[in-house]
Amino acid sequence: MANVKLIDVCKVYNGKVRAVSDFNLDIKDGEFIIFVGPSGCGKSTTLRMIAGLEEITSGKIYIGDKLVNNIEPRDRDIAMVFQNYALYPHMSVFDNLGYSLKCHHEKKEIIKEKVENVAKLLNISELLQRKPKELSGGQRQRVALGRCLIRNPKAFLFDEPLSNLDAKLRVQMRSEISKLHKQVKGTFIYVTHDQIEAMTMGDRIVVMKDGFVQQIDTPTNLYEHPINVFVATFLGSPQMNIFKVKLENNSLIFDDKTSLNLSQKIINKMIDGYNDKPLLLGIRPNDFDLSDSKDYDFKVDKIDLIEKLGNETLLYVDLPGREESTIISLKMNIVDDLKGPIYLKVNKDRIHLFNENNESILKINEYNFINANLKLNNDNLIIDEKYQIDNFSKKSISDITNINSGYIRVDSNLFTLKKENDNDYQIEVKIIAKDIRSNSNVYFANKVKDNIRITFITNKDINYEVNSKVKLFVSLNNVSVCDENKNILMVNDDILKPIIDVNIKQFSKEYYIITNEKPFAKRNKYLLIEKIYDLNNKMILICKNQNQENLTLRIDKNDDFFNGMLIYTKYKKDKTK
Amino acid sequence: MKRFFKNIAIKTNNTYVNFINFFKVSNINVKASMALMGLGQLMYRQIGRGILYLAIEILGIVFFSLYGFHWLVGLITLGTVEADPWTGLEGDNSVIFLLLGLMSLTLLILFIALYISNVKDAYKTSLLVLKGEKIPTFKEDLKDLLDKKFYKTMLFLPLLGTLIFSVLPIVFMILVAFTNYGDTVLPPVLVDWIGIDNFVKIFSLGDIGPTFFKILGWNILWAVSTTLLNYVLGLLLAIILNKKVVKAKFFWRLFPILAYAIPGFITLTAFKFMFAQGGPINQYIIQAGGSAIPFLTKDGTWWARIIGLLINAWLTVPSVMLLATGILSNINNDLYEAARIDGAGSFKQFKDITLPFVVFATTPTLITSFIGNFNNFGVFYFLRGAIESDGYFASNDTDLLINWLYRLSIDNTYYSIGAAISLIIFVITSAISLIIYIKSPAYKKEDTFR
Amino acid sequence: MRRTFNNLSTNKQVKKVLSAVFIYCILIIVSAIFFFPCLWLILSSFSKTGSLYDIEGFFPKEFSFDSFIKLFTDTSQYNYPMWLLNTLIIAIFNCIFSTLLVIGTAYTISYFQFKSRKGLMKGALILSMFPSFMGMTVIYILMTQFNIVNNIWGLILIYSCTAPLGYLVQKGFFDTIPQSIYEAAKIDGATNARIFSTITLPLAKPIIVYTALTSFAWPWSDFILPKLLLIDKNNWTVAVGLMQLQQNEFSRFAAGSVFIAIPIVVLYFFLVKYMVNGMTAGAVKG
Repeated sequence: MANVKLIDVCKVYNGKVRAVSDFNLDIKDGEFIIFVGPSGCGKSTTLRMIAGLEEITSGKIYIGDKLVNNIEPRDRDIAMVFQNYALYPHMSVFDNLGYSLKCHHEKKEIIKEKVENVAKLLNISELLQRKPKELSGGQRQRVALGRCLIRNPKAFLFDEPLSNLDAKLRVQMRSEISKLHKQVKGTFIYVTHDQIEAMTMGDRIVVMKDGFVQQIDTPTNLYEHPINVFVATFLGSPQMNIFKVKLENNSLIFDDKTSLNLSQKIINKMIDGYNDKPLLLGIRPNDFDLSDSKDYDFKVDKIDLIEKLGNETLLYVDLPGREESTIISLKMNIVDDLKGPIYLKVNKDRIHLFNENNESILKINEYNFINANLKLNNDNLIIDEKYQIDNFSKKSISDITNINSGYIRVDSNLFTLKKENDNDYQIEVKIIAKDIRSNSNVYFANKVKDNIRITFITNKDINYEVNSKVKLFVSLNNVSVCDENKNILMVNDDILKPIIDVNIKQFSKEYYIITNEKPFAKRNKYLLIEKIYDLNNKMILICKNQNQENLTLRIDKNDDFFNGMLIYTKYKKDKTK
Repeated sequence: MKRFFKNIAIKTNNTYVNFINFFKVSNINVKASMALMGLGQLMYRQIGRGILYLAIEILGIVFFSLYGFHWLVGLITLGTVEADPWTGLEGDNSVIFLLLGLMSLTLLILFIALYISNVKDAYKTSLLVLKGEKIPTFKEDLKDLLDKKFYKTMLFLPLLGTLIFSVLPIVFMILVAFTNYGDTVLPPVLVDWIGIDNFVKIFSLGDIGPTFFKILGWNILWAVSTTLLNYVLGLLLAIILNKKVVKAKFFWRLFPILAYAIPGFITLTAFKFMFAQGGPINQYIIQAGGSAIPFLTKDGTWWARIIGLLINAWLTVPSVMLLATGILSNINNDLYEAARIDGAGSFKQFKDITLPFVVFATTPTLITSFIGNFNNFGVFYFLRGAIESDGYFASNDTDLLINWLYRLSIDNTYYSIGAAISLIIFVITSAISLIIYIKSPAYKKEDTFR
Repeated sequence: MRRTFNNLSTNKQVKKVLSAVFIYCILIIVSAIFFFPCLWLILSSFSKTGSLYDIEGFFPKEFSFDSFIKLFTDTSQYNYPMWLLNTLIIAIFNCIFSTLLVIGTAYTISYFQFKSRKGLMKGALILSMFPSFMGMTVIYILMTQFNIVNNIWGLILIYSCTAPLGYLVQKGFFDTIPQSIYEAAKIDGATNARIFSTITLPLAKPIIVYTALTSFAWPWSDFILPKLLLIDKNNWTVAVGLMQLQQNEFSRFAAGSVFIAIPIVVLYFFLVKYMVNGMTAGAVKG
């Protein structure tokens, strides 16, 4: 088993259709990760790029520690279950299972032994001599699973394997795959469009839309802290109700003048600057409650529809700020038919607020921005008067002569719990909750002081009580340094050389820049663009010239000669991200 | 239209700009390969490839200096020295010159293609080096031929065969159409290029012109009527056989298949005798008191045409029937049931459900069968091959263009005129099929199963 | 009320019966039309004298097996057994070579997505629009000039090398094999060559049989090319030979035709199953 890393992976068809954009993900060894999203969001394409069935337009994929961009599927040591199982119809189950071993020229006795072992594990030993068309759907799926298991691959890939099964079988197979994961402890990468499968099976979920990653997190975090409207409404059934409201002095005003006061918790979490602005309010169906005429948030005169589901009841009512019916889920059995008027109360700590770009304005980010005191001493950057990054000006992207405070941007995955060490940055945190499915060892903590939430993931078995204090460490070699506007000043571990201004005159298909400017042109016949950073009015290009020297270019977008607009559109990030 | 030309102008400009860029961008190895094939590869230590390309360059130069160049010249002149039986001078054989010149031209094109591939190869390798990746060894390249590039190995023989036996003959005949080869001008007499004279002869008044237009008219009439007739009859037959009331469907299908399976030349010859002046059909007619009908004789113009139509139907309807049967079985039965509930009678069901579906599914075959019928050599060759009519130059009143072609070329050695007519046939049939094919809905969906 | 109801139902039944009778009538007429010429040919082959003029209408004056016997015994001028042998050799080798080339081409174009693929397909389409005559005339010209090709191997070569142009039917078949099976094999570790031999070929059995049978049957009925190519009468195929016969010895011609028509018709009956039922690989789906 091994970990899988995707770095800036993009897939473009025919130079025009962008199926996948800027996919970044670190999959840990043994993790069950799920790609979920509506049809056409790029999840299957990404999976197929990991498998090697699609060419990677740009970016890098590592399986284990091996860069697999140009490696054939058979040499990547992965196994895949297809939507329609793709069993070889003319071969028996035995031959189907043993095919991959035969391709690797294994001896007959070894093949026989391995096939029989796998068949026993999956309870299909009696089916070994049958052909696929004689098997039921569930049996075929087990054979497909067996075909993967027998190879002992570094990662298991699943491409919507349950889509073709009926509902009952689907539930059964879902639990079988989950159990298999615990048994085998392998790295499972699973694609589905069914959010229920995603929520129940995965350690972490990658939500995708139109080729862009929307959010990567644990199911609980995605449910509790969606980063935008899409994620909020995609996960959770029935869907979250979205209302159009306006923020006025810590109150939300609906279009019929109903107002809802914000709780203090929400006020603390909110990003500033949205007063008097139109917002979107999200309330999940189960965050409503029935109340009485003395203490209510909404009064509803008429109930449009009641759906009794046995253990819960769904009410469809008309609430302001929203054209469609609002769905309310009550965990009770309403024996008598409810008639209006009814009084509803909202759990005000659990609402969600989104701005007009559909982004959540509650402070939850994938990256953690830790406020830090930054000072420049000659060429060194001093962080919080304790830690030093040498030769900062050489590593920084823009010219910094003076800086007072900024942020340290840390990816959630980079925190570790360990002993102190010179280069590591220490943060004291308090663990306030523990993920329910503790078997997968996912925790999240909260830095109480600044109300900044730090999310981190670890596989280590940590037995800390709730509310205890821990020390987290993050290696300074892996952080990014940002200015007050959270613009990146220094990135990861790239070694950058001085900046050169250049006019992009002309470029060809493979993103070379050819320029006639002397003396720049003397040394650089052409540059191969490796990475692009899109800052507000600037673009930073990390390039390599024909002698394989690294070069950093800064381009002003207002520049007349900026033919690189075309490069820009190619890498333009979606606003919803 | 305007946009079309504008696009071409833009494309050529782009290619030119790209080429200049390419030259600027390419490194020393690529430039080396441009100068001498294989040099750049050798500089990259790709010994196997380098030597291969170098060998091709050497062979090419040797070949062209020794033979190729002469042959190319010969292609243009088609021989300069006439044979003289008196002095025993051998002279030039124009036909051989044409052939050798064509071969040489093909090899020249091949050589240029290999040269370009050599430069592209060096360029690709230079990109690999730039990205810091490993250059594949020759052994790895060979292994690739069994794997990633397997298609090259698989297509090599078929492409070679098609090139030699399909492409070259066609190009040869196209060239012949622009010479005066044939009739009196046969080797050892020298053949010359005469440009479009043959076409002028065909389209103008004179010996050939009127015949051409008469045959063309009949050809079009024939193609349209026989295609329609076969299609309709085949479809009807398939529908009748598909009906529920019909038991033992397989038995009834035997008879048409019998007609279809027996080789064409046998049945056509049999028909020829059946409808002969003294044949059995006329015998019965005489016995019944009528007079012998000149079905296929020289005077029986319209009789012969109708009989030809009917006999071709006899031959072709079975295959149309089989095709339609296959398509009919794909129609969803639910459609018919819904229509019945809605109150549609069987004729309406046929008109609104069956017909559109079948027409849609068979449009491509309709085109191929139209072209096939346009060029249906066998029917009139076997039925009335021996007959020549008045007012026709080496032909008769039921001949199609392709029959006329045969007579001109094989029976009468008018090769160049025959070749010119072949070209005209090609232009007509390809124009018609391209227009219909592109307009048809089936064109857009080639890879829909994937 | 009741009476009219009964009338209605019988009305409907009568209609049904009438239409059934009508349909069967048409079927009988159509079958007769298709059958009669064949019948005439069979009957003629049993004519005693062997000349056309001794056949009254559809029936010969006298019946005998003579024509059949003469086919195989009187070989001085018309060597029927030799023709049979020649055609058999051509058919067998054409079957082998053509099948290999066509299946290979069709599979490659269906499976591999390479750059020149669309170009090649368009090229094949254009090539097939030229009247097939052009190629034959060239060969005829070359032959009269140099006496090059006068043996059956030339014919085999030409048949096999022009066969791949007709790859479309086979390609249509290969298009129906789901891509996911190939992808699963690739992930399992198979090279493309191995995929072809262990997965594609076993699944392609129906279409291979179809291609083999059609390419075997073709030389028996092709007339023009052998006539152009094979001058020496010892090299003739059955088609060329029979056409020589028909002028003078009509019933021998009929006999020879009947003799080879029977196996060809039987062959075609096997092929019909493939043509009507469609050719799906039946790859198993979950």
